[in-house]
Amino acid sequence: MKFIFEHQWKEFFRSSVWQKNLAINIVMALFFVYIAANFVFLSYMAGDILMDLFPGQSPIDNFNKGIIYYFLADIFIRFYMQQSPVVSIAQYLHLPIKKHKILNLVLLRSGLSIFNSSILLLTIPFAFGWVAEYESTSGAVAWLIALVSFNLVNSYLVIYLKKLLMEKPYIVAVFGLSIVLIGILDYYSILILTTYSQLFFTSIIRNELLALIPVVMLVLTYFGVFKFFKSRAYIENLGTLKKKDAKSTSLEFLEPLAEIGKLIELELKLIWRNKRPKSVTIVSFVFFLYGYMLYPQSTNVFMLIVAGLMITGMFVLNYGQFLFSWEGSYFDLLMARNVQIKKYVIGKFYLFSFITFISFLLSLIYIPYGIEIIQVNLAMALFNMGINFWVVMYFSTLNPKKIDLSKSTFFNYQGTSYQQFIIILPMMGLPIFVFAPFHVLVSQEAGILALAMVGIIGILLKGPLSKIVEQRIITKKYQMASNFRES
Amino acid sequence: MISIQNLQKAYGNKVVLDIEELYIEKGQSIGLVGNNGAGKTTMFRCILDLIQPKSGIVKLKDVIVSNNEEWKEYTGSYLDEHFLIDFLTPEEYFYFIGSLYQKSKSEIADFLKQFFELFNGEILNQGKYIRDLSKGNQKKVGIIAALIGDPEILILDEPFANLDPSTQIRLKTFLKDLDQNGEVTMLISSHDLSHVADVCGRIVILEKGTLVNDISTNENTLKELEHFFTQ
Repeated sequence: MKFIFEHQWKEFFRSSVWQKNLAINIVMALFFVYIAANFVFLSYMAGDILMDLFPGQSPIDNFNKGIIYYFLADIFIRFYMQQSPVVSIAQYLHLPIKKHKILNLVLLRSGLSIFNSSILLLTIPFAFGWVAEYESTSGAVAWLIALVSFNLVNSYLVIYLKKLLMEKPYIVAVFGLSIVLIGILDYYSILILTTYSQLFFTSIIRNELLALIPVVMLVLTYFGVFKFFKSRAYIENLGTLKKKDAKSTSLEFLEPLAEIGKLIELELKLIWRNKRPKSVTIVSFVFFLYGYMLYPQSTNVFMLIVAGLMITGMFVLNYGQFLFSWEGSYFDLLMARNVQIKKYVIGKFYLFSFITFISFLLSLIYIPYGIEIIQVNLAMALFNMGINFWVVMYFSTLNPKKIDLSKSTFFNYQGTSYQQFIIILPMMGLPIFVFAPFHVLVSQEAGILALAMVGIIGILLKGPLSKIVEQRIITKKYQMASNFRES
Repeated sequence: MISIQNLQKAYGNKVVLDIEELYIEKGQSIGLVGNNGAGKTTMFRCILDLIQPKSGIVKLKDVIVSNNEEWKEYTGSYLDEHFLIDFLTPEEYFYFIGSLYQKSKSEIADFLKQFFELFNGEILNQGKYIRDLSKGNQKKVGIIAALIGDPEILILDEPFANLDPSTQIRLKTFLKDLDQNGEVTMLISSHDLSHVADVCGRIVILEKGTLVNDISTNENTLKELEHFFTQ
């Protein structure tokens, strides 16, 4: 039966992203090592940190208090990020292998995922540095067993819930709401979760046999999930998405723009109806809150410019870096049917300018932090419309990769290549390059004004600039189209 | 209408297409046949300026395709699913293509009426995005969209593959009628020899990228073709 592990291994390492992008693999590997090191360090230091925060209290008790929050948050995070492993049994169903065998293997294998190892990194250093030291080694082991079991309970519970979401969404809603309700009760100190959490986990350390409770819970959850999927191990049940009723819509207010309007409408539908561009767009607007972190602390004008770039230009940056890749699946159509490239470019200009403008309007909520912020943001909005948009348009033609629109954004770096770095560098660099000389030689206001003026010039020159981009697309289209055709 | 001169395409050292000359008059319907790897799709992509030939030129109405975009106005094509926008409903897709040719919604709705039989109740008003349609139905959508905008040149790659028997017959009848009118220059590739022999007035055989035979269709054509491919 080890072929399943072999296949999953091959599936992972032979995926086109892995094979083509060594540099990005290395960066991602370093990133994971960095995160892992952080976890270990945090766990190692947790005792001292808790001593500092709550002097005179037992850090072990306080650690145990926090565990409940970790597991509640864990459920939500998993719900968004964890992929169901059961889908992968589809390709074995017709083969002469016992169903329960494959299902068992796939479920057990999912328990060993990299996700689930994070709990070990977060707890082992603390378990042996503190729990074993101040309580007992056997207590520490029992404590670890309990935590790992709960972690796996979460993991299997989420596999079950995600499937249930397709069949009986209201049950999942009730489950989610009740967790939120518990959170609210806890917030108003009606139900004090930390007390129970501390009581439970500290008892396990003192009385190791209690660790059997979570272990039994894990076994029950596992068999529950197993039974649930056993009766559903048919191809028709394995699909991850329920097909919704699709409605034909048209955006009438874009009608006056004729063909350009149709192209904008198409792009809006692209964003709205596909998982990855949709989440990229939502994330762009979440970045908007970046101001709340930055503005109260910093009045350095260079920081304000970077913040302005992010706040008014996050969509341009985030969505724009994959500009042509989003449309990769129908790029041939755009090139072979009667789509005038000029109108295509102008359509994008309108869309991006509009979203940048909206972002600027939203950024008016930062007025309380000073009028200067608004000035900078206005200048940066103009700069994003007039300059950065064209930068993104121009450099996006550089070897874009195909993107699967239906995949989630998290840890998904399909379509990422050196191209993204090439786009981001000028986007970050150009504003500083325009601002700095005026700032140094004249005044800060002159620098901000210069940014705005350069932006306005870019907007006014949209004819010639779009011509350059158009020419660029025409010369690059063969390479782009062939990249997108690669499966 | 279509002229191809010394067209060559190579990937690395492997020449996949090498056509010395091919002229197609207005109103002709050409069937392109050949085994896998013969270069049919490559030739279509060269004509539609989707790939850059190593050498040689393709002219539509005496203008080189890579020189400007005007040929797009009178060319309808469907090669593969890269011509579909799969997150649209079929209606939205037809209206979108229509808008590229300045056709209003009602014009497109009228245009679609003639295909109700072909659609067999599985395309319009199904509450499905194109990505949720079966392969055969996706193909129908693509082919019909290729006809939008009254094209003078129609290019279809394997239009009969994946279609159910009724639709194959209906499509064949439709294409034959279109050919009879003599307004449209058609270029159709297929692995189904009897279909092309039936629809097309002229058949071009490709083998490993080169043009090996160019025949006018008559009652013996199907036999000839079968003989050619049995060798």
